[in-house]
Amino acid sequence: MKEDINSEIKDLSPWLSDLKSKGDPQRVPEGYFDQLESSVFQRLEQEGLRVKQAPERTIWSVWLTPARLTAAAAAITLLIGAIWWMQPKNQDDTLVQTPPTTEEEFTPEMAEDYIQSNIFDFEEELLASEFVDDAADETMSPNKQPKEKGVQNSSKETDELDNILNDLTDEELEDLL
Amino acid sequence: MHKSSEIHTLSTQRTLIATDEEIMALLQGDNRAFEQGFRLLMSKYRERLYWHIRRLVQVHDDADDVLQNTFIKVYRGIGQFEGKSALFTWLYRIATNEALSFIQQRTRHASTSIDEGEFSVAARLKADEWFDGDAIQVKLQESIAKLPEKQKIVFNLRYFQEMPYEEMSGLLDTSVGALKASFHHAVKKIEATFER
Repeated sequence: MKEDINSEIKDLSPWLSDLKSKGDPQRVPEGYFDQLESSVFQRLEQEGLRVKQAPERTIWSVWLTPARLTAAAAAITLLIGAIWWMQPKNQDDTLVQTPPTTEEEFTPEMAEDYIQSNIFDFEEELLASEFVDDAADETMSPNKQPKEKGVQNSSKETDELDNILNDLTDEELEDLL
Repeated sequence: MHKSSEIHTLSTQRTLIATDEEIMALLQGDNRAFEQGFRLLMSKYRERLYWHIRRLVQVHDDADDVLQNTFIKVYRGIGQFEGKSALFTWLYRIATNEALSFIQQRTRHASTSIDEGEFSVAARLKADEWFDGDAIQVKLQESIAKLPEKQKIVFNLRYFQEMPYEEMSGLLDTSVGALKASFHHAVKKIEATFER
């Protein structure tokens, strides 16, 4: 294509073609095109035409719109409120209101405390039988359910009770009853 | 690195691969995208537009002023570009109008000046430190300056910028035959100037 143009010029005017081949006398200052942009933007600033740059948009600045911020604050408030509402008010209250129902929760100390503080609620026979059981089998765990009194053990237990009663002094017996 | 430097670097790197569609898409975006698109546009077309203007106004300082005016007009009017023609065609027309207006103003100013000689082509080229031509080169520039506008533009595009007639046809909205005739007439007029 370039050859076509040059041959066309040569055909039309050989001396113009020769002049062209000597090179272009018009030059440009070094780095002119690189600084052109800043010159143009400087003029745009001076003439008040340059559109203000929007602030850089980060992920947070894009996501955190006023509406979303309000919604997030409301959600956090609700979550904290729900956690607070579901939590028990007092650990001790829980023990009072819901007595232990399993063997794991019901310790021997707890049983003893309960019996001591509610001693008058128990029938004498029951207390006596429990006392006999404890004395007869010291390894028996106090948190275990009372054994079912079997027919086979009844005579043995009666003998043991007699022995224990014989060992007790009158004062001890009065305290117990 | 400063943000503007990053954008400048991006512009420089992407100039070779940025298509007109990519540039236009950026120019239709938000402020930040618009500025990036405008930088890409300048990077892509600044040299072609500069040389088109420089051939018409001849002196570097004048070409610099006209090119800056052209880009400012582009900046203000890019929203009116409808894409009916190629982006460069639109830019080229703005640059041509700016250059011709500049020449007309200079001619009017020269005609009212006491020392009309200081506005002559020879005087201006002599004062231009970015022109290294000899007497023949100066005379060539004087001959080109005397051509009618259309012939001047066709001669410059063909002789200096070596633009194919087909491309010139789209740019000037003129048939290839008419362009060839214009170039032929321009060459003969310049030759006649030298024969005198």
